[in-house]
Amino acid sequence: MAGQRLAPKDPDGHTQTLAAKDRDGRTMSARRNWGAAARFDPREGEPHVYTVGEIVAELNALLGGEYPSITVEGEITDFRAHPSGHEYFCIKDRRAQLQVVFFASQPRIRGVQLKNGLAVRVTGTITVYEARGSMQLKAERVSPVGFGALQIRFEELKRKLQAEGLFAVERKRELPRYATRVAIVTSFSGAAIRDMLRILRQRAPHARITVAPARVQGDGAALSVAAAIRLVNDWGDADVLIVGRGGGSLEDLWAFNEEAVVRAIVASRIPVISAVGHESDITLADLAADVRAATPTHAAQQAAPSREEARHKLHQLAVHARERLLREMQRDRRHLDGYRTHRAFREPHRQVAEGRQTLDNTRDVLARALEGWALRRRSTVGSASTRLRAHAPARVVERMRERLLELRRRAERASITDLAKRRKEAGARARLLTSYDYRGVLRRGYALVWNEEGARLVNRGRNLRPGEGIRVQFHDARAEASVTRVDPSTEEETP
Amino acid sequence: MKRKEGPAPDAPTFESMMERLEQLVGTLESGNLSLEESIHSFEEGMALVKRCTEVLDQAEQRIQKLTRDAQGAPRTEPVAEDDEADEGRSGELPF
Repeated sequence: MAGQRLAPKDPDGHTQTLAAKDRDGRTMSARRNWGAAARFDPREGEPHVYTVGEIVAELNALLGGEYPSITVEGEITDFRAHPSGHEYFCIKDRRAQLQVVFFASQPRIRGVQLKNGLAVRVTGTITVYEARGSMQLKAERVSPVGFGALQIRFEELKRKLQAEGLFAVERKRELPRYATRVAIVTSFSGAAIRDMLRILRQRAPHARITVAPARVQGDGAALSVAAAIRLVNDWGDADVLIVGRGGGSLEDLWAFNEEAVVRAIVASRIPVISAVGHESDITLADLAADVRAATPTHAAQQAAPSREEARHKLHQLAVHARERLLREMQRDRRHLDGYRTHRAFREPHRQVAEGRQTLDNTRDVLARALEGWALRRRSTVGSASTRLRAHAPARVVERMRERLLELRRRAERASITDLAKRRKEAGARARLLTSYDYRGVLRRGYALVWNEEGARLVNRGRNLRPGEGIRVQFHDARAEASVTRVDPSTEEETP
Repeated sequence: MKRKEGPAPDAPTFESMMERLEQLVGTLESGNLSLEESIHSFEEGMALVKRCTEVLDQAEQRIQKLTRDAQGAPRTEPVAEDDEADEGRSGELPF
């Protein structure tokens, strides 16, 4: 209210009373001396007649002098943005409204979009717009208050934290798939915690839930939530952390837009699910969390798999493991089968065949030799018989014939023995080849266990007795060992 | 912090057991194991299946409250299920 004190007087010499209303509608009265000599009409008794321009200019000077810079708070209405960049609107309260002009030349606050309904503080000077004769506030600065102010803080903090990369997608961690230790930071009054506990009890009764209580609205809420998040991390015995609260007004949810909460979420080693308010409420906590759940109920569903899901997965893994092992063993068995039909095993047959062929040759040769021998003998015998016929009895010939038969039988026996011998040899060679080829299998982890004498393979462990000696054949060594204990296999009992 | 039926504090978690199990099945799948390793993997896997099943079979929901003690160390105390389930009587949980 600084400024020169004028004492305006009407032509009758009465002091004018200026009445104005403050924004609460109270009437302010002021007696003012309007006595400006220049405006005083020299003709006594004659009322002074202003031109419109004069009075408006006078009022302009008067108001400008009286209110050089004032700040008025009100809600924007009738907002018009001109293409030139000037903005025109009214600010109002319950009783009155005031026109505001906000020229494009005036600085704007970043991120503030003026619009109807926004509560603002306008700082500027009161003037009269001469062309229309209307009073207006010429704004130099327009800043939102209340909700609008929160909105600006939100935008500013969001920009800042975004620049730090705190909301980056690359930062997001995957939630554990098999969480059973669920931590919750929220208020323990209210619907959110109830909903979450109910859902978790239904889905995952095996889960252990740890609640770190925090104040989620009002003074100190942000610090309380941040402290609870740190507490859960200090403790550390959780797979996943839900941070949130139920629905409420934007002011109610505001703690989750505070830097302290965002930074605590970012610093959490335990993956965080945010669950603030309803689907439509997106807070900075939501942006910072690894996963944003639309509601606390939804968060509880995401935190832990249901018992049925976990059971199913477990069953799948068990079946899978067993199948893999069986396939592995079958593969090894096929490996063995491969060897069985492989050269090593086919060899004996070939050797036998070869031996048989040799034998046949031998037999032919023998037969021919015998035949020749017999023929020779026969001719000898023949000549002898003719020579002896006169003096030798027929029995001599008979004896000779018997000897001949005997010789033939011996020759045949000899060839049979030969065959058996060759067959045996072929078998031994085959075994040698087989054992050689087995080494490949032994290298995969098989070992052959022989009895103490090394003569017989031990293929039933149940028959072993403590103290009994065994020989173990590895691919690279043989070891002699003695049995210390025999436990019958429990393989069939595994699930 | 006392839990009657809970695992020892340093016991592997369900999560870590399941991860190990998946890993074992994965290596079994790769087929690069010797027979001995395959059998060991399988046996370890089956033991994990058993323990995981035991965890899942735990029927009772366990709820606890986490605060700091006078020295500022984390401290948990169990919350009885009955109290928690009594929704009608009290608007607040008995923490």
